[in-house]
Amino acid sequence: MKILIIAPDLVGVDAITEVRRIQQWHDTVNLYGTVTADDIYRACEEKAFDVLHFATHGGPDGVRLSGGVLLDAEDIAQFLRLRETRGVFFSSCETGRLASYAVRHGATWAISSEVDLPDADAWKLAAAYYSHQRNGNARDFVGAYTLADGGDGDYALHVAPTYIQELQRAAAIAATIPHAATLTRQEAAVWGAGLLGSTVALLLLILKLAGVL
Amino acid sequence: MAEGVHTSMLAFESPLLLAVMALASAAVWLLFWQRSRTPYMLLLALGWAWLCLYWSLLAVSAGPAPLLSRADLAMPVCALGIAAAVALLAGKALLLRRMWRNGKAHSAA
Repeated sequence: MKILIIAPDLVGVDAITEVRRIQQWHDTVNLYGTVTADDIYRACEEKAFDVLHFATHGGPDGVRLSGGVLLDAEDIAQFLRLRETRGVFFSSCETGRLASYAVRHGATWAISSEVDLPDADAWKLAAAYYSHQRNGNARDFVGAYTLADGGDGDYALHVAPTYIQELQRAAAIAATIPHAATLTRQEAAVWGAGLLGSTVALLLLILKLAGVL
Repeated sequence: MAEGVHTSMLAFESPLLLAVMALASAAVWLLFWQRSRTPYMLLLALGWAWLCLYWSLLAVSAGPAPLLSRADLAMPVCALGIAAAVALLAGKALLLRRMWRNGKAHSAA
């Protein structure tokens, strides 16, 4: 999985553990030190990423880049749309609003923190999430999130409504495909017995009428 | 017993097996229809059920001592054959229409 990690030099941000973990398992490009919006734009232009990962300070209005510059929701959505990046991970405080905006404006999924994250713990969910996404499981973002998140309400997974609609449409089509249906043991027994009985009755009737019996 | 068209080798067994096969097919399509309530499945089940009757009547009249002769059954057999063909054709047409609509919905997404 190709990940663009954005970890600007801000006081109180220590993304080293997080970056190292992600690098272990995925193909990453790291923007660290002095990071500007233009750096992110150019990185997204040069290479198509699966995920933009923000390891920085954040809030409802945006995430912080070097020098405290604010990158707002629309800026992030533009980066996502540039090369159809599917996911965005906010390893930043109170980014629910940004994630919600991202999935309505280009991203398929976004992970946000709903609370003030202690910097010492911020890397844990990211590490667990990305470790589940390695070895060909890159598209299973729901599975990875379910396994990684403790369910304590600190984080949230946002999914694009259009993606859900697509899934619903595909499920509706699949329901009309005969072999997509399931057959329980009980149903198989009932229908099997019915078919066997009908076959025997039909055979007996034909044999009788044909003069064999 | 005179060796005729309807009493030749396997003249009885062949429609008998076909009737059993058609009954099984009808049952399977009925099971599908019961799940999804898609109209084409019911039509296909009906078509196979009529084919089952069609081959049953052929088998009956090809037996060693049939209670009903082929001449007596000629009209019902013909009518059943036509009904089965129409039902199966209509079922397949509805199936294709469904696929076409699915394709259009998918393209629009």
